[in-house]
Amino acid sequence: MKTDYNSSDSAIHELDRLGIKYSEVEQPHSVDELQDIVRKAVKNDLHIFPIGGGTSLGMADIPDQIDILLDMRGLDKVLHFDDKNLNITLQAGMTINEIHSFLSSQGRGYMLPLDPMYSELATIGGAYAANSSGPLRHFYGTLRDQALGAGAIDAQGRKVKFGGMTVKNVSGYDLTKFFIGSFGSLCIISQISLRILPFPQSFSACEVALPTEEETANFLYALRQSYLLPSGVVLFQDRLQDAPRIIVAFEGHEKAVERQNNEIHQLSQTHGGTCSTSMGRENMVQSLHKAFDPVPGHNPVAIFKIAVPIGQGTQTFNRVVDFTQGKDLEAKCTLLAGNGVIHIHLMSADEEKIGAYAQDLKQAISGDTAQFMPLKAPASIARNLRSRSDEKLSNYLLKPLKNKFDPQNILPSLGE
Amino acid sequence: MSEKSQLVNDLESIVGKGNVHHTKTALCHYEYDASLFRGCPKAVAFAQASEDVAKLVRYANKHDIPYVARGSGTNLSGGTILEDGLTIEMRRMDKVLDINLENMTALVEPGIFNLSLQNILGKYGCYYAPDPASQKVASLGGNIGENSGGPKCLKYGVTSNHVLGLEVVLPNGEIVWMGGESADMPGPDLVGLYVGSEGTFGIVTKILVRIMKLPEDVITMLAIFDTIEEAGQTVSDIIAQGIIPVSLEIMDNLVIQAVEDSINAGFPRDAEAVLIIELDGITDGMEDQAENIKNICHANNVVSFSRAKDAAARSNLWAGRKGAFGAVARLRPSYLCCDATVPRTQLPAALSAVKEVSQKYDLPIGNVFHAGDGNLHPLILFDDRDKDELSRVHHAGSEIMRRCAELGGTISGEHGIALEKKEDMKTIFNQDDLTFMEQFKKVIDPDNLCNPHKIFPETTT
Repeated sequence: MKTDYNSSDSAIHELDRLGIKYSEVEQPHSVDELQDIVRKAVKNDLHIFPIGGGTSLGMADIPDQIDILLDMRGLDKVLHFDDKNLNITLQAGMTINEIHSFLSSQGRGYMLPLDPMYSELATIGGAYAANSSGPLRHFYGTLRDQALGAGAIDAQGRKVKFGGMTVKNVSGYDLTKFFIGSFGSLCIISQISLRILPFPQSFSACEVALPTEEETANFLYALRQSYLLPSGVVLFQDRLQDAPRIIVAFEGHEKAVERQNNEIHQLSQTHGGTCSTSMGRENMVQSLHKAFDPVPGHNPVAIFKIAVPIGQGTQTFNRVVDFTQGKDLEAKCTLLAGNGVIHIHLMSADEEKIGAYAQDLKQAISGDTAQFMPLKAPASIARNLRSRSDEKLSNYLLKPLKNKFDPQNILPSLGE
Repeated sequence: MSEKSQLVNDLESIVGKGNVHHTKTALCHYEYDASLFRGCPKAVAFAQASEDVAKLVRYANKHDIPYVARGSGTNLSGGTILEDGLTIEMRRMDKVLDINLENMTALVEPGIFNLSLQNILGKYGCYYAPDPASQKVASLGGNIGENSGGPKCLKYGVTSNHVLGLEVVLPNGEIVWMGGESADMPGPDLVGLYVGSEGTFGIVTKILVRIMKLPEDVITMLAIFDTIEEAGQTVSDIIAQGIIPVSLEIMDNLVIQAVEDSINAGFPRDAEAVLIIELDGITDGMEDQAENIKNICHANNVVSFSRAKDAAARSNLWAGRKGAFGAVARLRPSYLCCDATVPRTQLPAALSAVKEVSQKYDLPIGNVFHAGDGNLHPLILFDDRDKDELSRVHHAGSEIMRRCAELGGTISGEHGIALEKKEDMKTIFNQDDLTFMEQFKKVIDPDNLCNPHKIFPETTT
């Protein structure tokens, strides 16, 4: 068994903090064991909730009472690594950092360009279930662009597989993509095949500080209009009262990285700002983590995510910051500038205040194009905040699919 | 009034007089696509708006008429063939509705040609990455149906990596929107499900695509080899060096000969294999990469290595590659284009298998393939007036698929399953897998009228 299931386990701790109750915990160490657990649930009409690192529980529709808490972290092996064909197959319970560590130690060094928050805790299965991603999505995309295939146990307890090992694959429906973001509501993913890449030759991170909001927006716009190809662009503040800074990461051929660094320096000067550069992969990764992840040593009690069209990103970020400053809350805000994805980390421990803030913020930025998602929040708050699918999609597609694939409702809710 | 007349009358009341084809002569254009299958529809109705499509679907439901959406009919697996059904023709819905350079998106109707969209976006310094070889004539809606690839997908991914949202007429006749301009829409990825669903889940009526800035620089190289194995090894070695070009495309001598007769792209006629390699991106560093690639080619006994001097030369090379399928018509009247994909390192084994199949079934097979991602297109050449040859062709195609699946690959990389490969699905999926997948069809289209009898073997329960 991997854990002692005490409060020091972050995933269990998070459930306890959210007030979620569970009757028993099962931690399979093989797909056969996983299948047996699901079959037991089918036979006895028990509700299962799969969990990995517990880092995106706010997005899931967690019932107040779970019969079987299914800890997927016992499925933590590399099943197949193919450096020549650039793919890897992993069990769902392996953490993102474990994957990075494995890949970087192989041969010339390889990478899976997936860097969600809490990568030391988040599992690949959890990232798949929640559609988690981080700054590197700017250049490399998300799991939608990296997953090649998967194996799962369905709600009847059958082993099924879909996709394959090749990037080009239209043999049957693309269920590998469909289940991303489905929170295990239609089947439980046991393994995932992913596309990997060789490490680029060179890495850098530029930290840019600009004098005003306007110049920050102008800088980001100019960057988007240029030929430059950053791997990540994060607008961030460590604290609300801080002036925002921008991390721009580059990777690739050393000459390309050098030229792009120079251009960022010039661009920042054009907009009245300053720029510092650090080289090397470790520095780049640390810079992106510093910008994107919660402030080290401060465990946020809530994390909210807002997605808007790319062109609205900076404007919405500024509105969110202004709004939050007016609420007397300790917070950090970040923007993945190339994707229009904003994260707000709240440090306040007052649940009522968080709930009111979140409702008001959601209302303030509401519109057809803004999606509001709680990544981490008390269950009662998260439930009321979660964006729902369009009613027609829900009624004509999602609910019927749920009823067909999980007639006994043993798997997590689709949240519809 | 006869049943046929009533049908025509009813359809005309939906789409307008003159927008329904029903005569034998008119319908014969719709009884085939780019596959070997034939099936004559009852009627063809030309839709001009989403609401037309919705009304046509509701009509089909009411009268229990199977239907299929059709763009340009370039489908290679029989996806747009539907005997005795209603063909809903989408080509008149071909507008670009919006180009948003702030959000880097474009909203288009499904009937627009892929290349037409590229040309329009080019005026803004942008492009849409998926570039199937048929892009001159293939519609974007068809690209969505098949999750089309193209030479650029080695670096940029396939259609589903570039589609952000879809307006769809569901099989119940409702118009829905899925996905959107904001990232990370909640819930399962319905857009991902619909792209590549071969028109079996409804009819796409609007498409929101991601567009990209044209790259700063492009270098296109041509390498000539005495053996296809050396060309294949070169591809593996390039990737092993950590270089991910935009494209790595190979053609063999049989195809080269046809291409030169047809297009005169400048490929040497005595070349056993040509490898087209394209890099794009930031200028700095590209010369080093190109030099690296040249060295790799030489390490694999390249006979000659050259670079396209300018855009015109580049365009000519690609015209040769993208015109390959049409060019082989000079050799035999028909071809069956296989579409298996194998892991890149299994390409030599796959090509050997193709050679063996050619000898076994006594059929000439030309090879064109997206070498970078292991997607082969063996072109089995034959005369479809020869029934014995036709029978051997289907067996040969199935055997190629089976051999590729045994090498760790799959039976279709980008052309779809539809009619051609549905029995071969059992090669790569077991009964539980197929049942699981088919349940999606049963839920979304319970009446089984939306492009029915495609994808799944007849024996799946």
